Amino acid sequence: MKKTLSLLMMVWFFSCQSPEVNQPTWINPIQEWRESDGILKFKVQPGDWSVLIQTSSQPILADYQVEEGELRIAYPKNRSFVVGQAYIVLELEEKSFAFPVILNPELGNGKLEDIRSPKTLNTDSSLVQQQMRYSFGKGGNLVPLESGELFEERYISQSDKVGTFAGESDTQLSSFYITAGTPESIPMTIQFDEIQNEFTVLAGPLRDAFQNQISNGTLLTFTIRNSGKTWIIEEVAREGFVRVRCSAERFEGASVHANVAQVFSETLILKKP
Amino acid sequence: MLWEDFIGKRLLLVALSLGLLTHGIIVYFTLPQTYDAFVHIFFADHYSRFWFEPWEYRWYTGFLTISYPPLVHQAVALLGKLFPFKVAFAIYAIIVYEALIIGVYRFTKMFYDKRTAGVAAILAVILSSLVETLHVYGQVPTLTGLALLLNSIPFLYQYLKSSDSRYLVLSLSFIAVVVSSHHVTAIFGMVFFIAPAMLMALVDWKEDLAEESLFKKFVPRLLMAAWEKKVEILLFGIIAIILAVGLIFPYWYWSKTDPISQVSIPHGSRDNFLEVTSSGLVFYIIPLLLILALLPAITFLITRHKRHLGWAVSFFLCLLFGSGGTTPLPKLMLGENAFNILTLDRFGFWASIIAIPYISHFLVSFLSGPIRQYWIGRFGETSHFLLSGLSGFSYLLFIIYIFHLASFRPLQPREVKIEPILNFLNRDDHMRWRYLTLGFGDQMAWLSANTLAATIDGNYHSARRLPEMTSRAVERLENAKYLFEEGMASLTDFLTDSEKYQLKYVFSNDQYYDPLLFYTGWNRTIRLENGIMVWEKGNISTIQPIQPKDIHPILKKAWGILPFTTVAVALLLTFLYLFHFKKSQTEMISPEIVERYPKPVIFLSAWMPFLIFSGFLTYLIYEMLLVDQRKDPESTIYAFYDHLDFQRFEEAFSYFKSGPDYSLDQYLLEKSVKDGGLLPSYAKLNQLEIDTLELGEDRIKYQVNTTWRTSLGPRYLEEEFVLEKNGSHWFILPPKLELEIPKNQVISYDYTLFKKMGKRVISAFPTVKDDRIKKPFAAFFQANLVERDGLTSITGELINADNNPITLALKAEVTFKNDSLAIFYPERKMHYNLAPKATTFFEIPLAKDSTQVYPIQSITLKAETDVTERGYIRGIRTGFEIKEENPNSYLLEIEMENPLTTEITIPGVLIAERDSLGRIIQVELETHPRSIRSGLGTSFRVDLEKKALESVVVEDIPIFLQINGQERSLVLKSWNTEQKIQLLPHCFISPEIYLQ
Repeated sequence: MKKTLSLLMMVWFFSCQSPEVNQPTWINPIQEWRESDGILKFKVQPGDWSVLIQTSSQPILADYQVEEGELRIAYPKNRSFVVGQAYIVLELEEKSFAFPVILNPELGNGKLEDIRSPKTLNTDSSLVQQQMRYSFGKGGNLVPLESGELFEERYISQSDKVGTFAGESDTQLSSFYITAGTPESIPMTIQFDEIQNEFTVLAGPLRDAFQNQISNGTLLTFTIRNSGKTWIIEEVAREGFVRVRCSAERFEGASVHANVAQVFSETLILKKP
Repeated sequence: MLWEDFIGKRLLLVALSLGLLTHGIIVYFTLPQTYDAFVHIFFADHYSRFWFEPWEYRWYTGFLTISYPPLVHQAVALLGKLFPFKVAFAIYAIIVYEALIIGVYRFTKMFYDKRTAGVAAILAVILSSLVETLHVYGQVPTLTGLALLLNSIPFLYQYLKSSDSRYLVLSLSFIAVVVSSHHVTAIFGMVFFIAPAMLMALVDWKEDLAEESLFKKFVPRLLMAAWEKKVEILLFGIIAIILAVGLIFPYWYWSKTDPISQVSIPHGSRDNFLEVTSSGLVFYIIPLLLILALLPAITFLITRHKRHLGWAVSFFLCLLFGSGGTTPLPKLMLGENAFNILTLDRFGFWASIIAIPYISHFLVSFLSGPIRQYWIGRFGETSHFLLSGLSGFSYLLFIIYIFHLASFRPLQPREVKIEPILNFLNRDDHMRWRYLTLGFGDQMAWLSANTLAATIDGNYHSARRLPEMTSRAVERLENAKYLFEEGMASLTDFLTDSEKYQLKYVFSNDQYYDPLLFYTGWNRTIRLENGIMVWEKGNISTIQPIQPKDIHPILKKAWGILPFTTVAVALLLTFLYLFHFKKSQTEMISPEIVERYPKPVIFLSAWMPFLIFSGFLTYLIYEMLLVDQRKDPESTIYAFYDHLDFQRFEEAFSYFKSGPDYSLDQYLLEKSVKDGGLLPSYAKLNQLEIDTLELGEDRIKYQVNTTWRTSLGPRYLEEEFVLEKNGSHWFILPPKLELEIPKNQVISYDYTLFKKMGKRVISAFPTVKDDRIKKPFAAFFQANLVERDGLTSITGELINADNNPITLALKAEVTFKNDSLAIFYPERKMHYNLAPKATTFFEIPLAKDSTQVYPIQSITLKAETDVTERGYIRGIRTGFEIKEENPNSYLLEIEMENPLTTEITIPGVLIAERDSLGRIIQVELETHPRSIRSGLGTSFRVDLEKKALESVVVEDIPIFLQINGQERSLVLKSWNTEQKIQLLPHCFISPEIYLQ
């Protein structure tokens, strides 16, 4: 009885063992796999195989078929992946086999990227901008530029005219901006409205050193001094002009000047004509 | 005996059912109003997420949860896997309360018969101290500790009497659960419960011992008895101490390695209850009113037999300690340090628990025992029935009052729906910064329990380690306004030094803080659907990783495994006891029967409950409904201001003398056109003094001097009122409104508003492809190190050199000659939001005597800029004139006019004083208490201390300048050196014009 039991145990034990999986044989081995190379073929033993293409960035589930002991893997033409070293990984049960291959997809012409730094220039500055150009192809792979380089870096002296400019890649995100600097001077005039009995102090046109109109919203401070009292009136520029109204009743005879940053206007006296 | 057994157990079942029906139904609704429930839920949430990791990063930049025994939190965490946390907490609380009722029943059996124990169980359902602990405080760990302790003590009692080691095991198994759930109960329980229980067991064990005279023979024989039981006592004591240390060893390790060194936090339980009656009500009267009412009976019962000697000492000591600072005795006995650390209400709570058997015994005697017989024999059954019914009824009303205490005296702000806040934190990577809540009450812990975002605040003060918190008596920042100067100073530190802790968002549920937030550089971002205003600060870096305080992995595992093991062992042993052991043992029946009560005790204890409870309720009703607040002119003024303070304008109006020309509509209309600004909208009344100007029989004129607390500091106001007597009541004559009307019917103003386009690629990726807007340009016009009377500060002037509005962050990194580094921030003396080409002065105060004590090597002023859409409009016209100048001060008259289409809520100016070379010596922020409506103006005077003459500009210490990480030089700007004072408008505009 004991012998029978031992025998049965042995049979049961070995029945749990799986047969060893044989290494597949690559029938049409290649070093570089292009779309034009078509299907990769492997001779495999029967079984429930699965296939991965392990690229340098992520694994790709491959389209494959197993027929009559031959495993056929189609080129992953609709997938995005990084060009370069990859492995064809064949798996059966717990066993896996990796075959190195270099993936070399068609990248197309690529999409030019134009990065500028600084993105915003101010005419108070040197107006020099750093540019970085490169081109993205299919799957985010870099495509050589016309010069054959992957990256081009250069410094550009921009013009002194303000505006929003399109970069070379001509997308909204590649726009760069040149904005007006500090006004060169603050011309100021005073007008008197007899009907309203008030002065209008007009500062402008406010232009920077390159005769660009200063930005809307720029704060200009009028300082009005009238018999010991000092008034600080802050107004913002609109289309290059700033105005402030002061009643003649309160401010006649007062001195007024304006300033933006470190630039001051001349001092005028509020007096009726 | 069989009948007693039957009635005792039946009463226990009644008590358990009553507990389920009352507390079970109501606890879910009362727990959001409690002080502690959400804190425990937060801890439970921690264990639910990280069972074996005690480092909790969400509060105070991180703390260890081993600072509190974990059992209750772990139990709620497990229940939380099946139910929502609030439900899980309520279920746990009910289970514990039921265990507590059983504990009280078993505990009382040591003292008296089973019927008394059954009554004690019912009393536990409605005992005010227990009701308050659950429904007002939400202290479920305390109840857990107590429930298990009371269940443990009878086993200890039996062990000492019988020396049967199985009782020792049972007792210790429950003690283990106590230790794992509430360390304070375990520690003090040893003193106030275990020791008296041991004494009682020894007295009951040694027959005739109780008959001996106290000092001659009782004490020596008691000591002899203890010596005879030394093995049992030592065995229990040593194992209990091993359990107390071993089971929560990480807690003791934490206490030793990271000791609490912080300024004591004031607690109402330490007040003199005669002076601070509100504290007395909450911490003494409510939990102990029944005990005080029955004190004669308790005193009689607890002192009539020597087996109660230990309980008598415990009871009276607890009663004394629980009285807080009413007498100097608790402080003398506990010592200054312990007195200032402990919350003393827990002693009163324990006194009430010790009193339960005695109260129950008196009740049994009064309702069906010798007192009843005496009373009926003397006064008849009807009077007994009426007195019993009325006393019971008034007590039940008192208990209902406690259940609804939160309605009568709101303990928490209104409920805040947290979902919009969670959505805000979850989107756009907002979780990468810390946040702070203001005006949430204990709901801040509920918010924390529902998010993985971290707050700089927290609700567990023992774990605070940030110096800004521990150096002041500030429990948490969230309710800083209730902590007066210290609270606001601590909050100001955090709002100013926000970069230090990566604090970027403030969720404000209380506009009291708005002025402080604005003037410390915060901007309103969005008002969430739940009404919470989100404030944001620019230029704050994301949370820097903090190395958790590491503890040994074995301790982490022990912390996660041992507490629940104690519960499993206790449950297993309990079942073994019930099914295999209990029936074979002698029943624990107390031999004590009280046949006679002294007459004074009978009368006092019979009448006092009814008189005290009905008197208390009558007083409450009187206070709420019947107080005549117009009985005299002073009461009228006090009540009027009270209503104004809480913005109950209709009630405030009722104090005006009524007349056809002054209706409620007219009053509200006048308020709407004249009242606005810091005082009417953002202040709380602090103090009120009345000076009589004219005194007549029916007419009186008062000057009312009020002090108001605001987030910008105290403000003072003087107002005059005339009051007239009408019948028996006094009324205020309506003040005459001097209406200011702008000249124009319609005014216009040209705003230039800016809008950041934000991310222009829809992507959840944090930085790449974001099309981030550039860091705007800024420049320093000047930067000076100024010294005066040992006080050092850095002053200067900055400009937004860009064409976009910016928000600024400025700090001074001071390197001392010993190579140490300190960082200082400008607090309120700066304009943080600047329109294009706008300038600001700044002043950064350094530490006192810093240049002498710690010689400075160099200073680096670092400015960071971000484009902002808010806070930069300051287009108010500001005029000033030096009305007086003397050697020490300037008297400035400031005039402000509002040309905007919106109200200027807090008119303010930033004043700079310059020296003869035009260098800025000091910067001051001055605000006006009342708002300015569109088209109108106001003027006020400011006394400015003159500092230029006595100050020295230190020129031999280099000041390096950096803007957005790049080194910069000063930009030259000329200045009229004759002009010593310069002003910039700096106003808070509360209408959300930027948010539209």
